[in-house]
Amino acid sequence: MTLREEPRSRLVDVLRECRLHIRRIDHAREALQLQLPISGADWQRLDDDAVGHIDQLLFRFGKLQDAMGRRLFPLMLKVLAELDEAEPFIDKLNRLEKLGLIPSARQWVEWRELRNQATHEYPDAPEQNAENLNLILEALPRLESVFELVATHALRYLESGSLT
Amino acid sequence: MRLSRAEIQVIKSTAAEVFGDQARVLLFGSRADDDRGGGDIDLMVEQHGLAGRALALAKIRFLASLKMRLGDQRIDLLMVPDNAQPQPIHQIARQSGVWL
Repeated sequence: MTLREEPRSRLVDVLRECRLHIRRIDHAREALQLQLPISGADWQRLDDDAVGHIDQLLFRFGKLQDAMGRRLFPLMLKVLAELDEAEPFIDKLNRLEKLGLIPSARQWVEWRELRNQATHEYPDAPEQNAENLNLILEALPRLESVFELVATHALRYLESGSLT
Repeated sequence: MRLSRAEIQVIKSTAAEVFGDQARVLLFGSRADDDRGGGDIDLMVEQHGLAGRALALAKIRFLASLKMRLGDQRIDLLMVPDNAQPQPIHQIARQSGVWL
């Protein structure tokens, strides 16, 4: 494609993608039916179906973070004429927090670390795996509400052409 | 060692904040070696007292704080197990590394 799509259609696309990830996350969470928090012993007793749902959760948690961090956030900065593409990611997050689009830059960075940490399975430390899963399950609704906050601003832009 | 004094101070103070004053941090890997290139910061932390959920959170907060303070970059964290057998990697890190 040689034409650069303007922000509007890219915004629509990324919002749709994020909603898909959220739907999959919610489905996996519901299917898991875990009594939180889970222990190392619980982790070792997980059946194949549960492991499948957990894998889905982790995968979609990562995909949602990537879609938001790499595409939705820069797009929102762009429509606010605040985008400097060369700016480091963490500086963009700080800017988004200052603009009131995300509640906390630090929280976002911690979620990124949580995603990395939870992606590693420690065969000899089921307790660590269990704690990482507990943290993921706690983080998910908060991540979804950050998305809803940003999506609200995005929809306002899409409807009126401005964010005010 | 290819870390500035300011960076070392940030790593030490962040470790103390997150893991407690008794925690120790070792720099190993390519940044510990003046002759090597490469960007990853490899850190090994020795601490006592944190386990389970608190430890999982501490690791996350440590890395997040470091990245916010030092800039986004690859930082790998190895924990010395508090109540379990160390692995060969811990020994290798100690041999090649520098306590900060």
